[in-house]
Amino acid sequence: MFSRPKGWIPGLLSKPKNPHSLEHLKYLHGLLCKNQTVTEHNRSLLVETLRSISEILIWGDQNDSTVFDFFLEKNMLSFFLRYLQQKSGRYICVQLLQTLNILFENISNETSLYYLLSNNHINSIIVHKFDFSDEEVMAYYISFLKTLSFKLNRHTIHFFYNEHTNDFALYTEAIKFFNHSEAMVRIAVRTITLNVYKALSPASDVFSAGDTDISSPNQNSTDEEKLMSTLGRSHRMELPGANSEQMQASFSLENRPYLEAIFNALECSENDYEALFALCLLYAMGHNDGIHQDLMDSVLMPTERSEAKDHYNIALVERLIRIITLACQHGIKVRLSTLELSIKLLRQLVFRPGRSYLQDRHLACIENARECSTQLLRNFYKSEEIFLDMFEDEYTQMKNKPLNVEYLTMDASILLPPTGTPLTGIEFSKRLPCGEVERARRAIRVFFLVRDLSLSLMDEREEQLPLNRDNACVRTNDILDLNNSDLIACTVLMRDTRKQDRRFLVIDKLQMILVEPDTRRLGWGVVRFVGSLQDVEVTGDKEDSRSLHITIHKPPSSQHARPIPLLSARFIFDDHIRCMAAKQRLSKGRIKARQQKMQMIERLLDIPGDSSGKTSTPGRARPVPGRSHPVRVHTQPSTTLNQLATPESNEASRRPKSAPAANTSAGKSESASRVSQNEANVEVAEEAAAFAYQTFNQQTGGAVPKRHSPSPEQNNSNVQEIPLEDLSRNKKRHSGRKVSNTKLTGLAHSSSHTRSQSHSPKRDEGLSSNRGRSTSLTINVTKRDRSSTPTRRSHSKSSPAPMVTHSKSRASSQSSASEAPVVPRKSSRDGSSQSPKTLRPADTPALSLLSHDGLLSSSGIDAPKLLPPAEMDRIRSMSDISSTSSDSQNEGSSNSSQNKPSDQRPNFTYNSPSGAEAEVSNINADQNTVELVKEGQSSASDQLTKLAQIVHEHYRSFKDEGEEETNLSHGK
Amino acid sequence: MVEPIFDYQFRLILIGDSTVGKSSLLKYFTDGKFSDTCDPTVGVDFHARLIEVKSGVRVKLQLWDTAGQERFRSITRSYYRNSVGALIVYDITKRRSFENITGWLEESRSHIEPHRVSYVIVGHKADMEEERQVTTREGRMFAEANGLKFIETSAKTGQNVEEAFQLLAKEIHNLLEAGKIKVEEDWDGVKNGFARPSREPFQVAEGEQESGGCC
Repeated sequence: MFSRPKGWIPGLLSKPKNPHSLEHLKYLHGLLCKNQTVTEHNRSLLVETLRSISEILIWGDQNDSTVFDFFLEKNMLSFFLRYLQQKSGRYICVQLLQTLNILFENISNETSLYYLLSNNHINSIIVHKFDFSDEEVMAYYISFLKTLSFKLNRHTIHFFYNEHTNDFALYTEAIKFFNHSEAMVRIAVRTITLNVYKALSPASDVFSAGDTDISSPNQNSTDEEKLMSTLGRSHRMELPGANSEQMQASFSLENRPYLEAIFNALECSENDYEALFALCLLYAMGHNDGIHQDLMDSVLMPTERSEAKDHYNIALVERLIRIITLACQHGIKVRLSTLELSIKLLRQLVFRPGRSYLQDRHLACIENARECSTQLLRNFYKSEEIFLDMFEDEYTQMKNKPLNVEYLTMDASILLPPTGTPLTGIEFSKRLPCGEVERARRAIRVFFLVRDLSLSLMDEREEQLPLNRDNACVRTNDILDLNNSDLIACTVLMRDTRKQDRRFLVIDKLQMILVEPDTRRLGWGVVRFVGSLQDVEVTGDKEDSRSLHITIHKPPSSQHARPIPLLSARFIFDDHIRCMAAKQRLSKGRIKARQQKMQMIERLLDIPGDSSGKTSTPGRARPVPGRSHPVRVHTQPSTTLNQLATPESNEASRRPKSAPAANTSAGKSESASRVSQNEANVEVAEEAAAFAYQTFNQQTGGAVPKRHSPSPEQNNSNVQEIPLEDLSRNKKRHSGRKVSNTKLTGLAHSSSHTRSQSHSPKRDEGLSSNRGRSTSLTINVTKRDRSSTPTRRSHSKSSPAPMVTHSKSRASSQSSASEAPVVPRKSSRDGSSQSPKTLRPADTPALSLLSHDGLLSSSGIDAPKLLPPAEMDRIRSMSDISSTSSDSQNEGSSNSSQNKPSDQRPNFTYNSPSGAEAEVSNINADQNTVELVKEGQSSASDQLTKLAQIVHEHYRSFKDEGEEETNLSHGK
Repeated sequence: MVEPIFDYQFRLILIGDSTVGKSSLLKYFTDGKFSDTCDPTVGVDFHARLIEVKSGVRVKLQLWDTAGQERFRSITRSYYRNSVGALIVYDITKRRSFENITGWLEESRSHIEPHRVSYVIVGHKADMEEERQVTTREGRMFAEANGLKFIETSAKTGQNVEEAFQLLAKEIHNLLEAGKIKVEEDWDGVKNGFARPSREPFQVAEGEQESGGCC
């Protein structure tokens, strides 16, 4: 109609004088007709026209009804809408919004208002995509919405609901800005929201028929309220707590359609998609202060507020238990979040701190689930390093990031059906695992969660987790008494900061510690750095034989985060000998720390250790518990270095220097307590031996009972009587066995036995990384062999004669010693164990030198020690073999000869780690000796001064120290 | 700017159940068009058209189309007061809508009072003879019983559409001539048109369809 303005006389279109008149509106209408398209030129004219129109309409609303009639007849609102739809920029939009705002604010005639609101014109303006980045547009838009919201009442509210789009645009668009940066906008949104609710409340039936997203208040009723309204009275109010017994029995889902729907959602038949939501809801109900406890009690859902939880909803608890049980099974349907939330909810229902109200039959289900989870994890158990890392990582993650239900419900990703792929970026706990590694991670986490639940329900304390006992660990800035500790002086050159510090390296059972001497107390040191031994990575320096590159990675905070190095530094030692010693001890320490933890995991998982168990699960070898325990019996509580310093030991500390040879005998017998530091080694050796034994038995395929019987006996008797002696002896014997074992495993290429490697997590990174399982066997061989060396050495030292000549004869003597534990203890102690220990310090350098092709620094040392490493190894292996053969008589020489090549292969390799290993063990032995010696001492003050000297000398000059050591070696 | 010349302005309202075809009827009357699909009216709609009630007397009809839906009943009520005539529309294929016209009659009457209101009962969708549920006779009987005019229309064929509005406009005009309806100051039901100094027949063709609804 506007396109053909018929019947109008253009000549009459002149601007009337009175701005407030119908005539003026007609004139303005004419302008609109002529400028139906917004352009650069007419823009300001149109803005002014729109402004004037609103003015006249307001005036007409109060003074002349024909003005609005004209507006109606000419359908001028449609002009507005068309302008809006044109890409006219913000200029006209702002004016239009303002005009409409003024109109709605001021029109008093309800028929006019209704007309303006009719037919979704306003809704289309509301949903129009304005440029909200423009502050002015935003401001006018939101105030337009606010004005509209004030026009809401139970009649007009119908205008705002668009049936076609099923949308209540005024509300839905407004709440999009609930979090807007402008406070004004947020306030307006709140006003709008409140106005909407206000309009809704008396007309609660308005939208109940249509499915709108605004729920009417009566949809928030509970089953009980619904029941009440249908019955006209409340049953629940008449139910006091006294007859809750009856309630327990009488609870049913009948007449509780809402609750029934929620409960049914907990069935994870296909997946746990709905179950997770239902759990969130149930959990939130228990934490909502707005829900009266009486109401919760009426459906037997106790919460944190409940004083007693004697009566819980069995239907619910059983469903929760089903989820937990399901999570512990192979077919994976339940996400970790769902499991964790189920557990949380279960605790809420049946658990109060220190007390569980769970019925026995339900508890049995939980225990069963725990068993299942253990079983599940056992299937993923591997002796690989990564398993330990994963295990510990999962534990810290579980402890550091417990499930936060609020955050969970805010996470939009749970709205998606459960997915398995990590590519979605969805957090691990909120999706299903993908691949073997993630399945293992999940099994670990499930194990932790269910174990934790089970322990708290049984009111037991967690004794075995975490594997790291923090209270047994040294921390930075601790001050340690280092009087008895074995120190290696070094200069630490930080890779990033280039800072250079003089430090002493101390290697604890689980930690690598760098200390600085305490200026106030002689013989004490301040801890400057502590790193977990199991995370230490050591590499030599090709150019500088005195340097090591040591990196310690922090345990990664998340799976995908790149590990951050806690320490990355070059360690420069005083000489090559110390350097190699440090390297050995670090590498060995790493392995031991890891082995120790792996054993803890095995204990946690009840991985069977006896041969019967092994036949069913080949490779899951584990020391017979009974055998390793005796050693543990002697474990002293002294785990920290501090504790090591007892007066007794202080006395001893003087000796190693002044008269190394003499004092050895003294310290020994009393030194049972000193064992603590070595106890781990011994334990490892012990267990390894047992393991070797088993493997051996398994492989030889018989004589199991026979094999078993002697060693526990020996061990036990020895241990009980003279622990130290026993330890050294055990070592001896075990080393022999171990060798045999490793050889055997090496020989037995059968992949079915790969599990037997579980005790020896990967050895040399360089070797193992590229290899499959079968090759890792050989690596094990190396390791075993190495671990055996220290003890052998200690024996060999019994005769001060050059090693080369003696090694073979020694081997036999050693084997005989181990074979016959009945050998008079005194003599064996005095003869073989004493002297080697004192002598050791001198030997160490020699060995390490040998393995390194006789570096220059070694020139001053006895000629016999200058054996080529290959020779050395051969000798060693020879002795191993002999000990093996003698130890395991049945084997005979055929076995040993067979074993020989396989044993040699790794041993002859020239790579430094393997060579270094031997040294490490030596040094460990040294350590032993030193400690033992120290104990034998009598005067504490004497000792202190001595130690102080040592420390200072260490600190001052490297060469001196080196000489000293050489002296020591000569001294023997 | 010159407005079409007319003698009187009558304000009429269309009422009746939802989906009986009020909007289609009106659309045909103002636009001469019919479309098979029509969204339900949300609230109210407005149209206007000039007609000649008798030779030389031209009347502007302001037509309020209302939503038949129950939820807008409270809105549409406020349009009764300023109306001088009402078309009560029912669907001849829906018995229910015929039965409801009593209700519409009463409701409108109670709201328009004290002003006198003229009605025409419109049996709509007369083209759908096969589905007819309300006979012409029934409709007429009902109208006569209440002293009202009756007509059957079809927006699809255009049958009687013009006549329905003419019928009502003529009756109002008659009442006006008879003095039974007066132009009142604060009532918009009937208004006097603009003064006509002389006849300008070229301006508005007789029966020209004019509408504010569609442009």
